This record gives sequence, structure tokens and C-alpha cells, in this order.
Amino acid sequence: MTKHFQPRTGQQRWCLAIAGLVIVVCLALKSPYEAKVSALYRAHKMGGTTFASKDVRQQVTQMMFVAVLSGFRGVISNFIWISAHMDFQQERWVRMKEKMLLSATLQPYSVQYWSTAAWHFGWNTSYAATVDEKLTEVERERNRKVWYDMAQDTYLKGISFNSDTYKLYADMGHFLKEKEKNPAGSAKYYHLAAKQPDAPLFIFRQEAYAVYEAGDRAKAYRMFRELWNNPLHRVPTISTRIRELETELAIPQGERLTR
Amino acid sequence: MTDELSKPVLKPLVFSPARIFIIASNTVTELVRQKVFNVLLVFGLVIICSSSFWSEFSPEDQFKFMKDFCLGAMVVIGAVMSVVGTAMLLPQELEQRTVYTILSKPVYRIEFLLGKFFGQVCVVFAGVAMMTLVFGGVLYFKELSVKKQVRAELQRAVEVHNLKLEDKLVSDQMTKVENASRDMNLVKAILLMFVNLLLISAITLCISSFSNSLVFTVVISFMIIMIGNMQHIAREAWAGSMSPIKQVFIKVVAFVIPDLQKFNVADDIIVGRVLDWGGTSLTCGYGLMMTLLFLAVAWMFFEFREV
Repeated sequence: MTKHFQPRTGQQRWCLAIAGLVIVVCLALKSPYEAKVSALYRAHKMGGTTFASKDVRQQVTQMMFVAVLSGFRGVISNFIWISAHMDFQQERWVRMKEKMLLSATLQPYSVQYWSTAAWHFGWNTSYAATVDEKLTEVERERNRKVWYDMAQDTYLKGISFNSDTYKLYADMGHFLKEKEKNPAGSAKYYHLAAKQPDAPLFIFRQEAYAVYEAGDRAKAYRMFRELWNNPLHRVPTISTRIRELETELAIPQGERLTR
Repeated sequence: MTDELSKPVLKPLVFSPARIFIIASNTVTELVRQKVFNVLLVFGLVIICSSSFWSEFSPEDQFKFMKDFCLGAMVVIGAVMSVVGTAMLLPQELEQRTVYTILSKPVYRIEFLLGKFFGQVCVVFAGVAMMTLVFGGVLYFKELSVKKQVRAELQRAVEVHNLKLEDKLVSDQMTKVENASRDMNLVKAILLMFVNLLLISAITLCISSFSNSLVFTVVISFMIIMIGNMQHIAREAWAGSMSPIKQVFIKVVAFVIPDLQKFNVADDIIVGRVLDWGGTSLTCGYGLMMTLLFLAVAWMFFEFREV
């Protein structure tokens, strides 16, 4: 203790005792308390980007990186997303891709970012590649494939962070069905989407439709009948499919749908 | 006998919340006179910009941008109010020599310090409350305008395809907009932000209790805020291959400086993650404990300061 801190009065002695006690107790509790809060955040999947994501470090400027680390991750990712949108409007696809992936990496728990980015790659840029007149037919086809793969990678990366929500599974299912013409793969993802607690009703029907399109008629029939047993799924498309399949599979008259 | 009677009877001075309240209310008056609330105009500008633009984006994106920009602005403005407001408290009293008058009266130094701190906290609370109200109001009006926009788009779409606009479709879309706009979890993010500002004020008061320069106090406070926000990154980055020197350094930093990233949950809440009330109160408890720690250090420095 320096001379300056030598207690001169009784009041100062009390101060040293009480403040010292508070400081010691707080410092002793600090680390265990922080560890408890960190564990809680991990359990709630909060925190997002870490230093370990070198993609982020390499792509953002020094100032942006400081801002990201200082708690303005959302703001920076918004600016990058808006800039990506401008690139989209001016058809600068590669720049758009990099920025969209960067935004999504900065906020990996934002389903919206992964979903929109993958949708742009799978629908917009892949289409732009197929109509690029500067390229040969082979090159166009190759580019289209590259963008399709990119869309799938993006969906899968998004799913790895947001495996507890239906949206990206459903988007992946939709992409496989519509773009890759792979209804069997699509059925797998619709099945996963339907397992999530936030899945809306129509998602439960998508798996059956995909199985039907994949050609597994017997399985599709079983699924449609199961759906029909739930009054919430009694929609015209289901009954139409059931009747079609009953004829196709030669289901005995007594087992057919009565209404 | 006569000597004994002429001796003044000195009653021990009891710690008094009433004195703290008086000092706090004077501090609030002083800060309000210094027009600290003018900084809220910047928030107004941010909120107007973030609610007026981005109509070309999806409703979810529009609300996300607005929430991110507004909460970001609230953090910056709140931090500036906390640091600059608190840094001015003691130097001003010393410069105007009012501190000598107060401390020559039966007032404990801790009462003076707590009075100043709570006065500043009241001002920050008022600032955060005002920003929250404006934010909530603008969010509500934005919701109305987005609903109108979505309804018009649906109407246009059904006209083009010659279909009938179903009530269920409209109500589904409206619910989607409401879900994107209304999120009560934002209250938790704002509450944790306020606790963060409380802690920042305590840190600044602690530095101010031994510093003689306003600039020094402000600069060091902002540096501690930055270190507090980034220390977990350093720990993570050096976790694998840490030399003994780095290990000691990071342990000292982690031991002394609070991890301010713990209060930054707004980003995650905006993208849909949920922190329950138990978790929120646990983090609040951490913030309050750290505030207490820095107030105790400030008290120690101020008690021994030659004033």
C-alpha cells in the first residue's frame, strides 16, 4: 500500500474494509459467473460469429471488423446485404455471392439470409448463366451447375446453424424438386422440415407429393391416406391423388376412399 | 463538570439514502441543463432513415434492418451519454469547487459518489426509455405501412392472374408481417443494453475518481469498453497456442475487465433466437455485480483522494 492509501481516519479504515471485501467477493465470483452465462448462451445458440471464421476476417475491412467485434454485427451485415442487393440489381453475380455469404456468415442464425442467398444462386444467377450469350453451350451448362451446387451448399450451411427450424429444409426440398428434378432427395428434406416444431401444415403434404413424383406409388398412397385421416389435411389435391392412386394400384373397392 | 457540559456531543453520522437522493436529483438537474438529451436527435435521424428506406426489400428484411439500425444507434448513443455524462460529473464539481462545500458538510464520500452515479443513471434511463418509446412507435407505424404495401401487392397479383383474393391468404400475410414486426424479446435486449450502460457508467466513474482530466477519463473509458467487447475474441484466438506471457496477459485482462459481449444479445434476438427471462436475469445479475465492483473501486479511490 502506498503512502497515499494509508488510512488516516476511522472512516477511511471502514472504506478500505468494506470496499476491499466487495472487490474481493466480486472478483472471486466473476469468472465462474461468466462461465455460467457463456454456457447459457451456448445452450441458446447465441453468440454467432467467432474469430475462428477466417472467411469473415479476410473479407471485411479493419474498421468493419472492429465494429463487428464491438457488437455491431447486425448493422454491418445489413450494410453488406444492401450492397449485395445493389450488385444483384447490376448483375454482378460473383460479388453478390461473396457479399451475401459474408452477411450470412456474420449472422449465421439469420434463416432469412441463408434462404434468400441460396434462392438467388439457385434461381436467379443460375438462370442468368444459362442465357449468357458470351459463353458456349457447354460453358453455360457448367456455370448453371456451379450455381446449383452453390445454392445447395448454402442451404446445407444454413441448415447446419438452423437445424431447429423448418424453413431451410423446406427450401432445400423445393430446390431439389424444382431445379435438380430430384423428388426423392426433395422428399427427404420435406420429411426433415415436417419434423421441426415450427413447420406449417402444408409442409406435411409436401413430402407425400415428392414421394408421388419420385414414383414410389405405394408409399405415396399410404402417406396420402394417413394425411387424409387428419381433417386438417383434407384438401382437394389430396383426394384427387388418392383416387388416382387407388385406380393405379388397383385398391379393392372396400378399402377405397368413400367420399 | 462545566468542562464536560461544554464538550459538544458528536453523534455518529448514519449512512443516509435521503442525502444520496438529494445529490442524485441535483445531478439530474445539472445534466438536463447541459442539454445531454440533444444527442437523442441523432437517434431521431437514424430512426427516420431506417424506417423510410428499404421498401424494395422483403418485409422481414425491412424490419430486420430497422431493428438492427435502431438498436445499434441506441447502443452508441447510450454509451456516449454514459461515458461523457459520467466523466463530467467529478471534474465539474472540482472545477466549480462545489465539491468542497458538499464534502465539508456531514456527507459521506460514498453518499456523494452514489448520488452522482444514480443521478447519471436516471438520465441514461430516461434517454433509453425515450428512445425505446420512439422506436416502438415507429415500428408500429412501419408495420401499418408494410401491411398496406403487402395488401396492395396481393391485390395486384390476384388481378393479374384473374383470381379471387382469399381472406385466409391476406390474414396469413398480415400475421407474417406482425411476427416480423412485434417481438417482445426485444425488451430483453433493451434491458440488457441498459445494464451494460449502467456498468459503463460505473467504469467511467471509477476512472474519473482518480483522474484529473476529462479527456483522459473519456478515452480510457472507451478503450475499456472496446477491450471488454473484444476480450473473449482474444481468449478464443489464443486458446490453442498460447505462450505463457500471452496467457498471463489475457488472464489479467479477463480478471479485471468485464466481458461486455455478454450484454450484446440484440443481434441474435433480432434474427429469432430466444433468451428466456431466467437467462436475462442471470446476465443482468452479472452486470449488476460488475457495477458494484467498479463502484467499490471508485469509492476507494475517491475516499483517499485529496479533496
